[in-house]
Amino acid sequence: MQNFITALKAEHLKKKGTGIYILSIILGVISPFIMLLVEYFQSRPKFGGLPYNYYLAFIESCLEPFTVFFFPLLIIITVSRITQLDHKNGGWQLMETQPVNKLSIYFSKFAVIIISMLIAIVSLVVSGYLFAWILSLLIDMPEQATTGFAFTELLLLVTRIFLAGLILVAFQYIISVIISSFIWSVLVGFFLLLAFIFLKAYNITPDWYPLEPLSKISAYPKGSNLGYWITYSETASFLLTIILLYIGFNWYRHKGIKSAFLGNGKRIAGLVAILIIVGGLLSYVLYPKTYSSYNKTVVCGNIDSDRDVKTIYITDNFIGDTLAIIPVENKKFYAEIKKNVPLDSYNVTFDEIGRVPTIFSNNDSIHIDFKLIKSAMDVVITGTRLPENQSDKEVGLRSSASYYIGQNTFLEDPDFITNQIVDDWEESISNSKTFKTVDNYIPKSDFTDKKQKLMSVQYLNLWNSFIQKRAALYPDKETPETEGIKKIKEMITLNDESLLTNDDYVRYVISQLTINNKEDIDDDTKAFKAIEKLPAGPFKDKMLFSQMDKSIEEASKTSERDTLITQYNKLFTNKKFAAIIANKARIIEKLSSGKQAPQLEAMTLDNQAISLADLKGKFVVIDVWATWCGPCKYESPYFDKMAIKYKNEPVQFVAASIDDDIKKWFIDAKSKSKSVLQIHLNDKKKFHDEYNVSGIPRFILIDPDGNLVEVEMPRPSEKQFEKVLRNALGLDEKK
Amino acid sequence: MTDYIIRTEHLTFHYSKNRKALDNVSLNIPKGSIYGFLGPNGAGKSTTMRLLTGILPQQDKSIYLFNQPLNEQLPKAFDRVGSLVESPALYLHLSGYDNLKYIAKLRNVPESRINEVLELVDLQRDAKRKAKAYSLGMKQRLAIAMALLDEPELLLLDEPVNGLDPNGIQDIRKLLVRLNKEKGVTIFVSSHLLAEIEKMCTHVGIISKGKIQFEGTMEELSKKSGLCKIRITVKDAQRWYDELAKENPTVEMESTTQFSLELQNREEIPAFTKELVNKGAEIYEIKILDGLEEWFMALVN
Repeated sequence: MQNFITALKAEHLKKKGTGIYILSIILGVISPFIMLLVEYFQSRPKFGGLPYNYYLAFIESCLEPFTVFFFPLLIIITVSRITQLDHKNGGWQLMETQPVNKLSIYFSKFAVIIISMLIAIVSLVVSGYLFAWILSLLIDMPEQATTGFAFTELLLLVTRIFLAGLILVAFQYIISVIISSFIWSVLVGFFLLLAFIFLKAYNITPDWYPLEPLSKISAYPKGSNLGYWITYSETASFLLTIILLYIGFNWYRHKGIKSAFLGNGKRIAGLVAILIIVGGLLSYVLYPKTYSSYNKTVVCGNIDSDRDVKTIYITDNFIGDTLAIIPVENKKFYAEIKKNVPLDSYNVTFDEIGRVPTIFSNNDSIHIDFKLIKSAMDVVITGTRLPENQSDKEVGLRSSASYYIGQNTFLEDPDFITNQIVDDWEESISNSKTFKTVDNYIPKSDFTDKKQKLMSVQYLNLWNSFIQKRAALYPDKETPETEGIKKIKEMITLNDESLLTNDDYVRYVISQLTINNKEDIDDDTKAFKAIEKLPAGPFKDKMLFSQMDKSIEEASKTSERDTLITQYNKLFTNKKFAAIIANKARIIEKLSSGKQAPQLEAMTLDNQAISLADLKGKFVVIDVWATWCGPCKYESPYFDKMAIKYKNEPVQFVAASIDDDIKKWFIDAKSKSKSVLQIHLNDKKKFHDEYNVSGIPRFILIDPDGNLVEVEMPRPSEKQFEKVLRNALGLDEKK
Repeated sequence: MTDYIIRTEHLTFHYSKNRKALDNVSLNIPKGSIYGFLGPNGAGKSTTMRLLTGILPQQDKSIYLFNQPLNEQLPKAFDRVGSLVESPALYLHLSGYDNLKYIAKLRNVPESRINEVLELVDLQRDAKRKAKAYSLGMKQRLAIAMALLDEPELLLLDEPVNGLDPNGIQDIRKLLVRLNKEKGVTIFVSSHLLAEIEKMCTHVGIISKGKIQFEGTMEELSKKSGLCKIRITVKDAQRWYDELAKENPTVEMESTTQFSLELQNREEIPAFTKELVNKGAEIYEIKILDGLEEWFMALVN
């Protein structure tokens, strides 16, 4: 140890005048400086949002340029310079003819690099603080920002960057020591940087790639989801560093890889031991993990909100069937779900204030941390479906073929379009397997399978739309179905009940069922005819439900709805579906223009009871809002403006709040335009049900007789709003 | 029994299977000697030097330093050994002083010692300049100063005068002889110049093509090398040539005023000269044409 310290001190003397540490400071400071300029010139005021640490957030925003460029650059340059000091001057021989052991020589130089890394990281943090402070003097700090010293977070961040950088240091170091030419180590370093860009573009960077742990830091500045201090990626970097340094040092010590590890039993044994022990640990760390199932299905969680959440509803995504109603106690909830829940995305609704789509299935244990402060929401889902809930839930279609078909280009070239579809499909299939969490957990295979099926469905729908266009444009030309398309089709069966919650699948099944129907009737009728022929059972029920749901929604007349219901509702095996459809038709019927508007009971700012009936004699425009609703607040000034503009017309503008906290409503409403009548709805739930409300803001127009004109008006920020209003008032189009 | 500071027993080294750099090299460097290690370029001098310093790992265990196997005492042995291997290893971006300070740090030598060695190699005035700005000779001297810093018992010097001008060569030579005499430092010095070795060494080993051709003291060397060729510049050279040619078949005319001949050894020169003068020859110059050199050349080729 003494020997090492001596060597380290001497090494420090040697780097005198090289400016190695200065460079570390410069490359550490550069990212925060860039961020200062960017924030200053592009500053957008941030409204809302959860409280966050201002300084920590600033430093985290500097991580990307630092960890994927400046820091690797620094490592490549510094390693090369430190080793070149000795390569250039015959220093290795000089050091080896001093009473210093090779371990000290090798690692004292390594230590200097480590120190310069730490200097760069600390410079990043310190200058991050400094520049963030300067920024706070130049532009306003967001109101939800806090300014405490985030010691633990910063310490962990520094440690993580340090560990993540080790592997690149070790890799560059062993190369730079072995190869005396300066150009090679730098070339290898830059090659690593460049290749990384390509690997990233194709999303195929392996975890052991020397730049990957660093890039993970900027991708996940907050680190582990599971509360670990460091993530698997940093652990892997550290373990790989041990292996690399072991090999590198012995290579150096014995002047060659052959003499280091071949022909000497002890040395081979040493290498094998390291590879088995550290390599074993490494493969354990790198091997993707999946959660094992739980013995029951549980949904639980915590609520952190300034609003009172009393009940949580879990509903399915298909018919909105309630799977569980969970009371909240002490801001916590827990429920065991006894019903059969196949893998799907279910809605977890927190009273009316928030809805969290959550993926789970039978035998999962799901924990939801629900945070809602003011109007900012943050949801963290952990438990046995953590990776599934984090992975890209949207199976969006990313295909240039979709663009070509949309633009009607290249339609004359079926091979080109078909190949494009198949290529893009293959790519998205392989991409669907790449997701892993920051803790190296991957989705279970049932989820991935389902996701791949849903992706394939999209490509098949794309293919179908292509065939249709081809058939219309080139009626006498074939559009051959290639092997590739057949391969996609093999992914999908036409009776997969688990996929029916997905509209694309329903569309695909219908398209396949009706493909040979050349009758001159509309597509919906074809669809009903095809569904009718299906064997009775849940699959048929769900298909029929989807089709009915769509057709009822689209029907413009009462008679159409009645026909649909009498003709098809009897086909349901499960009468629940029939009831839901019938109810839906009823609600739509009730809310159609000219029907009596459902009653509303409310309270004015003077604490007077008021109902819709009291407003008869004038048109009534209702804005349904709440103090915690951001988009409502955005619409509010437009609404007020309209109220002032039509003050002299026979129309009453009403702002109806559904706030739980009447005090908040009172304060907010008091400050609004007097031309708008401010009321607070007494029964939120009733309003939701009767008016078929799925979200606010909602604008409703009622005529002087209390009949509905428009149950869902355009928003006042849109021109259409005024048009609808003028139309009702019988005013001409001009303003 | 003589105390040997360095001993190698049948040292053999391969760079590759077919290339034997050293073949059965046995060296014995007595304590207190200045041992000249002589051989043409590529004979294996540097390889030997690098093996002795452990820079090259040994392939067998045949090197003994201070009577201990070398590999067992590295790098500790360097507490007692100063070395200069091949081109001077200096940090060119550092000043001469800092180069020495670096070695002082590594070896735990007090800094006061730095000025002593600087004086020894006559670099005090240039100590603050960067080594980059040094002339070749100054670099060489600084490298020697670095080797001397820790007052070693043994100095291993690989071609220490390579590239120096005659003055520089002389200075180094004097310095080494002084160190040897005053401090009893054993010096192992390699060179491809026989003349260098001849001038300062007490012992010599000659290597050629990886094999030791000769090892012994300087006296033994000159005896072994045998004949001594001299060239005489004399008035009326032709006459003396004719006269001497009768007894000595080696006499040759070199020019109108010079002829050369071979004697049995150097010790015969005074008597031969006396005789010639007595015979009435007017001698301007007698020069030894170095029989050793020719013998050496024959030996190594």
